[in-house]
Amino acid sequence: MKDLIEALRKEFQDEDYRYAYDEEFSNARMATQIKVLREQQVLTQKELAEKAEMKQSRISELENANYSMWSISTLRRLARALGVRIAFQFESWGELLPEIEDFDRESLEKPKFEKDSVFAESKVKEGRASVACIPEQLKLMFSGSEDEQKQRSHVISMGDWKERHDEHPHSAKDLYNEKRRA
Amino acid sequence: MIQFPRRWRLYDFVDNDGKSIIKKWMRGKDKDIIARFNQKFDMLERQGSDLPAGLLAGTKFKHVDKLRIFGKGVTWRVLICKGPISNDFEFTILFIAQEKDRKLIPKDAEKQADENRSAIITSSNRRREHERLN
Repeated sequence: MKDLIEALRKEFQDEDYRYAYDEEFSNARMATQIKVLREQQVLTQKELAEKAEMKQSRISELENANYSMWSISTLRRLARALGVRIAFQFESWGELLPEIEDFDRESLEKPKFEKDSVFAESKVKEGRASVACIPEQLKLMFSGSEDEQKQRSHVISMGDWKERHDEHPHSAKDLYNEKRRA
Repeated sequence: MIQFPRRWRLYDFVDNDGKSIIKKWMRGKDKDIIARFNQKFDMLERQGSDLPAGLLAGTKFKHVDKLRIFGKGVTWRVLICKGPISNDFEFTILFIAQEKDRKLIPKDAEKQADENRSAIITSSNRRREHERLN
């Protein structure tokens, strides 16, 4: 794999090369992700087609690694049918290499909203807060005097969160990634 | 990150002069085309043909499949087989054809690919490890 990344670092110096390679990779990744998400949710092509109000043959076409005529409206319909969101943004070339390196079934799987730990119901379990209530809890935990903060610790096991807060900024993304890794 | 060995190995059929047919065919081609071929071969080497659906399509020859590459208004078909020495972790590039109106050029491309496959089974030196296109 290292060999491939090294080869691509050299080959991508050519502009035509990198745009063509990325186009092929992005098309194959999108088609494969539709298939992976459908299988993750144990849906047949027919069932996904019904949810997205499309024909089964259209799903089959969209799941083909050679498909290239993507439309934003079709992707939005599929995203909704699969319970995920579609992200549109420009990226730097440096971000492509890890995507190529990490490309596999696992990296393409995404939880639907109902199973997304960030939106899981707020729970206090074994003295640990769930990620869903982090922003509010962090504000609460780190406001007021130290005594006031200590008093709140009977509700939330604060030590754990404070330690994390002291280590690095408590961005939702960091905490989300941490939770997912756990 | 733990590095796993690549699951699939890619080989090139070599002609009577011992030259890789794909390497020879690719000489002088645009960077755009070379990139598209390399991407498909990288995908095949890393994932095989199961995860990316439709990467390989069948032909009238049982053991010969075709990979589709579209670039600069032309559709190319790379004729490939699993194995043929070890079917569990090898692919071999057998022949390259153009596709027009759903027909291959040359017409007998699939047959030639099948013959090349047989030649490898007879003599394993009719192929060598795939050389990256550049």
